[in-house]
Amino acid sequence: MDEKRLLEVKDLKVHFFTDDGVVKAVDGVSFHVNRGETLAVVGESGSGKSVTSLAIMRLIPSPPGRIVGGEILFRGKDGKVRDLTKLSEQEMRRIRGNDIAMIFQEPMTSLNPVYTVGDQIAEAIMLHQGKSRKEAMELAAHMLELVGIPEPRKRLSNYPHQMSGGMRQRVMIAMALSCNPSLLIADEPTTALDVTIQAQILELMKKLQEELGMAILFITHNLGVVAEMADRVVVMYAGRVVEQADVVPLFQEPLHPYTRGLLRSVPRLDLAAERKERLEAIPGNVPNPLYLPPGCAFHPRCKHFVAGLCDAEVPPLEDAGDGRQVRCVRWREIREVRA
Amino acid sequence: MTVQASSQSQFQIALRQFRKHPLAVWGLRILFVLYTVAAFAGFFSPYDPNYYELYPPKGYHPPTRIHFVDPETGGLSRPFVYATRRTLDPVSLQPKYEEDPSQGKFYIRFFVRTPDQPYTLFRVFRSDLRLFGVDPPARIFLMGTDNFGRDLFSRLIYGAQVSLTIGILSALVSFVLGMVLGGIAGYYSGRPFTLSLPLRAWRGLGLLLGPLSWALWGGLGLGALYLAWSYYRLTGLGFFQVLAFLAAAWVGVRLVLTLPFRPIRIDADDLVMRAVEIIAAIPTLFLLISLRAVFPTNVDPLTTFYLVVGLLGFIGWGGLARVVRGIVLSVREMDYVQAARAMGASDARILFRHVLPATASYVIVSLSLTIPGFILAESGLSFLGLGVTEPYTSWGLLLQGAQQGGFASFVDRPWVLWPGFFIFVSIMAWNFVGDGLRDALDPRRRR
Repeated sequence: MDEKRLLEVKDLKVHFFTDDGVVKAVDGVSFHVNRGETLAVVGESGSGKSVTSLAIMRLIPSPPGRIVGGEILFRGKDGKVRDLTKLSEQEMRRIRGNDIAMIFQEPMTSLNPVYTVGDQIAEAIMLHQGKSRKEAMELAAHMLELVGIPEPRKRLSNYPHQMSGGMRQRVMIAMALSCNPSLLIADEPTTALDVTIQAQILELMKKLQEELGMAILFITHNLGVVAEMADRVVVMYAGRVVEQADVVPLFQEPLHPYTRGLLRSVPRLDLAAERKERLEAIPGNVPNPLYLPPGCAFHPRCKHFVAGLCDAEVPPLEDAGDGRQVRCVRWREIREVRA
Repeated sequence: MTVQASSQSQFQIALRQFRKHPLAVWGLRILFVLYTVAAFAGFFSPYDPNYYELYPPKGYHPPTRIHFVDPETGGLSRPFVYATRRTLDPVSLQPKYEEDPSQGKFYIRFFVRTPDQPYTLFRVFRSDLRLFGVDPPARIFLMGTDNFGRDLFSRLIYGAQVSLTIGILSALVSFVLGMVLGGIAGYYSGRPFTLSLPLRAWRGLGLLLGPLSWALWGGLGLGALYLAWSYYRLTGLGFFQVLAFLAAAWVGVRLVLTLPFRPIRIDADDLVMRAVEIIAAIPTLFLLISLRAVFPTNVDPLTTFYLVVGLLGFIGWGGLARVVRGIVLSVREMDYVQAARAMGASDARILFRHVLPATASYVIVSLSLTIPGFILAESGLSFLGLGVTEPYTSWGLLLQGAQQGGFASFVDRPWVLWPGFFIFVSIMAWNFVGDGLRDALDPRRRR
């Protein structure tokens, strides 16, 4: 694996074996995360972005889910590269929280109501760093200060119900970063927060990334957040990567029809003034994962659909230059159309 | 920024709520008195519980009258008692006791020493100091005597030791069983354990575990066969014997066909819940008696005591396990459990630190509400002669003594029913405390 790379996911397949059939939630996903960068994974609900992040943590609920194929190569703090899909549960536990940490969507329920905030942060520290309770509490106070909670020492003895949603998300971030992980997986960390708090949390994450140097795998469906946070973007649809690019080229010139649809469906203040038309939406819904359409899974909703071409085979992920990748048979023609 | 509004801890809030429940507070006071007296049994009882006199006998002595009025002066006096004289009723041949003022007055004295009847506190401290007593030959029987002439009040206090602790100990046993088994059932529900390794998995550690698991299942199969065989030996050949053999044979064949090829996977949830259902399906007293019958009855009394504790605990864990399982099933889907897992916590850590504490308020309440049931069950067992045995005593055992002589016991010597009164009082007290706790710990019932 390249020295620069921290995480490399190769052809990952996660299937759920339900009573109705096999759901291929993630079907051959590949991407990588470099050290210290922020990779955003974007997609609608059901596109497999959360499942991908859970697969990296090996937290897929099993049964019914299982990682059926692929590799997840991860460079640990010790510099050794391991395939996370092959580790034992015990080895995996040492990685969780210590090398890879995760923050969740719902700060209101992600903290245990029966323990104080200090106890919960200290638990993670004691678990991985073998520190005494006193040292762990000291470090917990330091972490709370780092995430911008006033009077951190007093706050240590607070229970979660005594804090607001934004504060709790800060605590979650403090907890996740307490063991100094090299990768932070953030699964829609701002979705449940109101807009001003969202901005604060994003700002905080950026600041902490500069200070601590961890890479962030940012999972979201909010393109505004992507533009704000990401270095590179992976767009997922129905369990597959459909486009991958650096953030600026992607926003300037999206190649895949799905990405274009996503970007056009975001209201933009600068355009709204001149073009007095309705906001475009992608017609239809995300397909039922049990019965994916043949060929390109997006073709029933695509306005560039050509019968016999798009629904024949799953298009390959093609290189589009400048490290960009796109999964569409007609991406060259579509690019022309726009230009 | 600091939040001062909710500075009261959860415990303080619960305490305040509990205080608003007068019956519960009284229940707690009564329990406090009962348990204190039971703990310092030797001090509070005037006599050794097994002390009796051969001559003159004192069987079925009624409660001693305590006099406050001096018959000579007619004025108030220090409380005193008279010695009694025993006669036999010429018709019923029952003993009768009459006060005998000729022997003088015997004042009730406090903090007396009884060197002939020493006792041990908490099995450690030897003493012979008692709260009250009278000089011999007079006796003070606050609640009369039993058929041997032993002081019922002293025996009640010593019986309280057994009856009241058995309730708590059995509740603790069932609490541990219910929490652990219910927790495992709920937490691992849907994730079956592999309990046997097929031949192809006999590698590495499997080389050790494989044969072990086969031995376990083989043992179970042989056990089933042996049961069928002993059934046949006992009863001869009949329809049900053939059925038992067929069942055992079927289990054997299934095992032979399964073991080498497929792993046997069992969901802990199924296993535990079916066990709970089996226990729940058999009437409690019946189950208790049949289980008691499995163990010998002529073991030493202390072993019997622990046996009863174990049996009661074993019978009582089912209901708790069910509810704990239900709570765990919902709590394990909580985000904070997922978060704990993402922080690298092990299953055991998550179960015991993050999941089971969520059941605390339920478990505390259910514990305090099951203790009276256990006290009652112990009394029932002892009443039937299957529980605690002499020289230990319990309220149930004392009641058993009360039933001797049939109706006469209620008419001629009503004092033998005192143990029943104390069973009633302690059970009511526990129930009130449980009610109060439930109200105190449930935010929806706050007043």
